[in-house]
Amino acid sequence: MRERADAGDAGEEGRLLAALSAGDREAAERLVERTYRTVFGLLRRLSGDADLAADLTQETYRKAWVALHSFDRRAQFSTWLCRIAYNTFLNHLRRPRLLVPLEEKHETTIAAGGPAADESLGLAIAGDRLRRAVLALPEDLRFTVTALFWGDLPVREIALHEGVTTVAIRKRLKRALAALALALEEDPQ
Amino acid sequence: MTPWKTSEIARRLAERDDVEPPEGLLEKIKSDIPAELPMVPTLPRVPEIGPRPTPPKRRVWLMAASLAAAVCGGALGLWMMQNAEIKKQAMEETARQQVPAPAPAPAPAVPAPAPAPASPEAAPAPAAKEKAAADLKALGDVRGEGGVPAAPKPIPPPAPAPPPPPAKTAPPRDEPLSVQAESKAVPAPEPAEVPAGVVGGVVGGVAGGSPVEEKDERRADQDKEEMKKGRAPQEAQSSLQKTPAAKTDRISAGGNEAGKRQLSAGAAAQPRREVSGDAMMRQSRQSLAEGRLPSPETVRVEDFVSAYSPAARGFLARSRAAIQADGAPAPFTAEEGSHLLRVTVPAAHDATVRVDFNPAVVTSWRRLGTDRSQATAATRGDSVTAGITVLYAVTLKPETQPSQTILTLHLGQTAQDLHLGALPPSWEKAAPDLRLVSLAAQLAEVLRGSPWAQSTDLDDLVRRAHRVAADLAGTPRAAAAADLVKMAEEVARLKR
Repeated sequence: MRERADAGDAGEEGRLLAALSAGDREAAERLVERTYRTVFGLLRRLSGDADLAADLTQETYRKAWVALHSFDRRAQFSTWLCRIAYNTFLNHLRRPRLLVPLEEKHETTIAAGGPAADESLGLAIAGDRLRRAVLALPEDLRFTVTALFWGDLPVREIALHEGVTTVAIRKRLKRALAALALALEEDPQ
Repeated sequence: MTPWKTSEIARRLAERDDVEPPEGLLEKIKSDIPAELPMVPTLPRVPEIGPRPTPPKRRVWLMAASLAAAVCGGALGLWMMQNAEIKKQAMEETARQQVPAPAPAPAPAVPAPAPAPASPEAAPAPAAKEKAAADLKALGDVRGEGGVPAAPKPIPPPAPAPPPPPAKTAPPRDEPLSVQAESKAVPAPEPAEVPAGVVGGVVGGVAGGSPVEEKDERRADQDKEEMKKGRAPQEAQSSLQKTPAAKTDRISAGGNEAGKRQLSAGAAAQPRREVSGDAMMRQSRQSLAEGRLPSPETVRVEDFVSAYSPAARGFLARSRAAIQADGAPAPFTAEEGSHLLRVTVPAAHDATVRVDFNPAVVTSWRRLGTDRSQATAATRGDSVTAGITVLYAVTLKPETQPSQTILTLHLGQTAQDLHLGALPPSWEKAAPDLRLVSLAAQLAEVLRGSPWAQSTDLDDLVRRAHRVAADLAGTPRAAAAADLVKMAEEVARLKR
């Protein structure tokens, strides 16, 4: 079912890209509407900060329009965008002036009106530990985990974008989960 | 805190984030869309990397190619195995031809001693011996120089005696019957060597010895001995034993003990044959193909028996554990109680099996290929070396009961009997394989002018051969049966 939906999305995406090439601005807007929630969700999970994620999402699309001519259509447009968003986030982390201690930000993720405060805090702490552990993974494993779980990309799309087989992606995922389990066990904080 | 499991981590990573993008983000992004959008490349999508489904047509071809490769590989392997066996036999044959003269073998149970062999024949050429061993080794036979078993007992020079009479005689015999059998080929027998692998004979039940452990050194010795020995003319091997006098005999690759003794006797008078069995067989075939009967001196029954009973030879025999004894009523004689018995010792056994006829039942016996029968009382039996098939013509007493033992096979300390009740009631009901071998032996007897085959009806032999060929149609022995039919027809035509 998911493959069929992906195929349908790919067909729709292809039509929009064709219209985009013809200078159809409306097609560009449609592409944004289709993808911006995913990009924002990915960046929010990566950064743990909704405001920062919004800024990075905007920056991601600006980069995408500039680099649109380099889109080789090897993978879907949304996959390509996720990679740009991921790189944008990494670039953001590398900028010293913008580094923000991640520990101080988890309070912002507690949704008002949700579970009890201590429970929400515990969940938030656990989620933040997991996020930090993901960010500490090697590059190939980290992108695989973030694209698959936070970017909602199918394994096949990730494999196409990375230029490897789906088996390799699954192996990466297995290694990543094992590394995460080890990291979380060593870091009980 | 409990350790994180990978499944738990995956579940947490996959949890949906219900945080909505802030309001106005979509409009901001849309507002950033440039007025002039760059062209999106229209290149087709790069094909997916990784295993893709194989087109059905290609899959069929792959399956066909795999099947063909498997069949070809199997055929090649089979051909190589057969080729190795043929090569080995050819080398043995060559080695035999290179040895000028065989050494006389001991003959403890021989009734009529003969003159000593000529002295040059007694010593085998060492160079040929070494070459034969090297050839065997080169063919993968590791029975080499290592542990050569005890050589046969030296024979005391036999006293000169007149040539054996054609009729049955009962030569005197003073020495113990089974002395040589005990001392020669049977290696230190294990009490527990009862033949677990011995299976029933083709027709008449089974007699089996215990499976003897492979002793390659002993095999090499036997092979070398055989090569040294050469073959004497059939007439020289002939011996006659009467049943109360001759109870025991032994058969080896070069002939039985009586034959060896007679070999000595006939060596002075008869030219020694220096051609191997297979070569002799080929010579007989060639003569028939040229439309003439082979010379009687060149025909040996054991060659025909070997040619049509490969059960004891070849690589297949090495995997067999059964020493077989079977038989049937003799086909070409009206004499009451005449039976044909077959003893096969596969090459895998690598030992000599002693055959003891029961003097209470068997009045006389004759190994096909010899001219005189043995009196069981004097020469009670025979011994069969590994890789040999031997046919016996035995005469049973008319009052023999089915439960009575005809012969006993001894291997080490184990023994097994063959009862009359285990034999089929008639030759026609015997196994086709046994019938084929017996017809081949009879044909050889006819060709060599044996006194035992004077009254053989060749047309009857041809008819029987046709029936055997029909029974063996579709089996691996079909070609051999057809060959025998052809040969019998040719002999019958030439004899008319």
